[in-house]
Amino acid sequence: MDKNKKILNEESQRLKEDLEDLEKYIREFSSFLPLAVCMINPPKIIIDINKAFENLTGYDLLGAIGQPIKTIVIPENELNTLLSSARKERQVKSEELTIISKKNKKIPVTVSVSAREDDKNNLIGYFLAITDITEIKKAREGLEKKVEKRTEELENSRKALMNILEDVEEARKTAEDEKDKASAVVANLSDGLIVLDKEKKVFLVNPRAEEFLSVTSKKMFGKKISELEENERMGPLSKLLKEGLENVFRKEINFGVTLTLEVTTERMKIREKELGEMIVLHDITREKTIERMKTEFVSLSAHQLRTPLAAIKWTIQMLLDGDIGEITPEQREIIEKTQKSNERMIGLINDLLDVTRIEEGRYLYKPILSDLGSVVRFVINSQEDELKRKGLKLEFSKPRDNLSRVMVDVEKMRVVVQNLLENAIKYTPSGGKIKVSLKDNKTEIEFKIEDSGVGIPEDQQGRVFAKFFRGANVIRMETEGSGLGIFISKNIVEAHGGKMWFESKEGKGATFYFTIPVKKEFEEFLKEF
Amino acid sequence: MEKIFKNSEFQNLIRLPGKVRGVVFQTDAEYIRQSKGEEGLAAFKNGLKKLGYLVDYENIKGTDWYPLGLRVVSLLVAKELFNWTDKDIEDMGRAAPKYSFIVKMLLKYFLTIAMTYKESPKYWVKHYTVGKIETPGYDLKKKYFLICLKDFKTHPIMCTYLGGYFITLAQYLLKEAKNYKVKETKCMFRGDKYHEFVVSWE
Repeated sequence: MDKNKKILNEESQRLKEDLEDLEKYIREFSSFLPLAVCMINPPKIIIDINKAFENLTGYDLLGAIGQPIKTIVIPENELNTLLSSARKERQVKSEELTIISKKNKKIPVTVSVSAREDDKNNLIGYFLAITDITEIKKAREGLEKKVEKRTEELENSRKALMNILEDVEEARKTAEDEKDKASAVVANLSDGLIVLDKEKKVFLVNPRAEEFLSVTSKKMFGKKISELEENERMGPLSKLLKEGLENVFRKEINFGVTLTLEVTTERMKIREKELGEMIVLHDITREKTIERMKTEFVSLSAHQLRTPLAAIKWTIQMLLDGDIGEITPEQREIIEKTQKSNERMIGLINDLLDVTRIEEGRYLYKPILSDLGSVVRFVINSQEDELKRKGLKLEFSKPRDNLSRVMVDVEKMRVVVQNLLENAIKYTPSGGKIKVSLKDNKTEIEFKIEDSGVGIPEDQQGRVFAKFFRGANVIRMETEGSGLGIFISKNIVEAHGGKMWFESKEGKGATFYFTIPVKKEFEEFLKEF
Repeated sequence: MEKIFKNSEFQNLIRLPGKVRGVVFQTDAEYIRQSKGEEGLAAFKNGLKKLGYLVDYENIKGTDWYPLGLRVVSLLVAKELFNWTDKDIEDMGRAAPKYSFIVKMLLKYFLTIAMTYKESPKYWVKHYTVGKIETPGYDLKKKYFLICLKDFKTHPIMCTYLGGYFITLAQYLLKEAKNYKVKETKCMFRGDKYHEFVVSWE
């Protein structure tokens, strides 16, 4: 019995020593532990803390133990939830809460909780491990602020981008609308339109052009005009364009009486960037028809007028010749005036007929190799009486050497020179001077006639070569003239492959020039006939 | 020391029957260390040494049994040495459970008022070999409980000390309470058969 008691005592002593060691170990461990730890009982009152807890909260052991945990760790409801959760789930649970220190300072902490139970699963308290997250929180808040700032910046960027996108979308819609409008304009254009890219290949054909040329746009896309020559109507167009796209301005293509197109090409540029070229086909069939009808009417009228005028002419001549009887001097004077008027009328009718012939392309030329000097001399000689009558001095000069001979219709060239000389005489006051000259430029003969007459008003000079043009100053002078002479002359010169132009200053006179090509140019001209 | 300890009284005290767990010396030492520092603790140990008791506080075993008389004497020495009042002794008693390792081990008895109250006698015998605790009743509405300590006549200073001790035990249980007070309504040193403590709160 004593032996057993002794053994029990010894065992008890060992247990006590072990317990002491354990207590010491826990105390030292608890003091050393940098993590703030406290223990609370089921009523949630603090029953133990470690040194780190004292350091964190400012409460010493005596001050902390016995206090409800809610006075130090807040908010209470979140703490209670955490405790319940740890108990219920039987695992360590953590939550970010706040410590109210002894100095009433709020310290952000992470509280980890573990519920303690006895061997009968009765709750006997909780361990709370508390980590100061002030620095982490500061860093996190700093980071959050940065993120917030960055988010704000991104949001602003997003808004700006959205605005840009909206603007772009609006611009796109506007562009789309404009494109639709442009497409509608192109599609509904009364003119035909063919657009070529930089490689001169077709990339746009409007319906009107398809109609004019009897070819579908599908067949034209991606092809050069020259590749479409086989098409009946593309052939003439291709031929015309071979002369050079840039040179085509209001040139006509005639497909019989049913269709006449006026072709104009235009280079397309946007801000100096070459995009290609466009060919505009303008339907002038109606204008041509009207013009033709008008020409026919004028021609018919002129022919109808010329017959009675010719009869009048002969009748007057008979009266003047006394074939019908003697006439008094007064009667003669009247009849002579009538004769002049009749002659003017015949001249006008002839001019009109010439114009109609020109316009109908029936102004026949009979070119022969001639000396233009003799043509000019002939005309000057025919006007000598008139020159004398008006008291005008005329100078004619030409190179000493023989002029190059040119292929001209002598009759028509006389008309040209006569028209120009008559104008010079007509519009130069008495005592004035007229200079006529010829110059051989080897490739062309240049004719020049300069007068000291009334000149042409500057604002009317652009219409000098139009039909029926007469300067306002000469109309006021009540001089005779149909306004067709210069028009006819220019057409004759151009029909010979030459050019006509003028220089003038109102009140100072006018100078008219024309050139007639020689040699090669002339040979080419001859091929036309 | 001589002022409060007449030789005969000291001899009587030191011969008090019964033993007490070493943990009470540990809590005393910790309290003195916290309130008076290491120098205070050294002075305290020196005071006991002068009386002929060399107490090795650093190596006291909390679960070992020590003479009850020494425990009473040590309280008297502290009071004398640091010129403490009864209130200071009560505070020392209030602090003791907070430092006590044994108390922490026994916290499973502190789950509810009812359980604590019921288990208090067991709690006592884990600390003292003499005397016994009885728990005649408590009233949470009236905010008090009674603790009777019988067969424990040592020195009045123990009454003061234990009063503080009981307050802390109450504090462990009443989380909404404050302003704890203790009153010894009966005392063997006043002629009563036992000590009766009324712990109340607001």
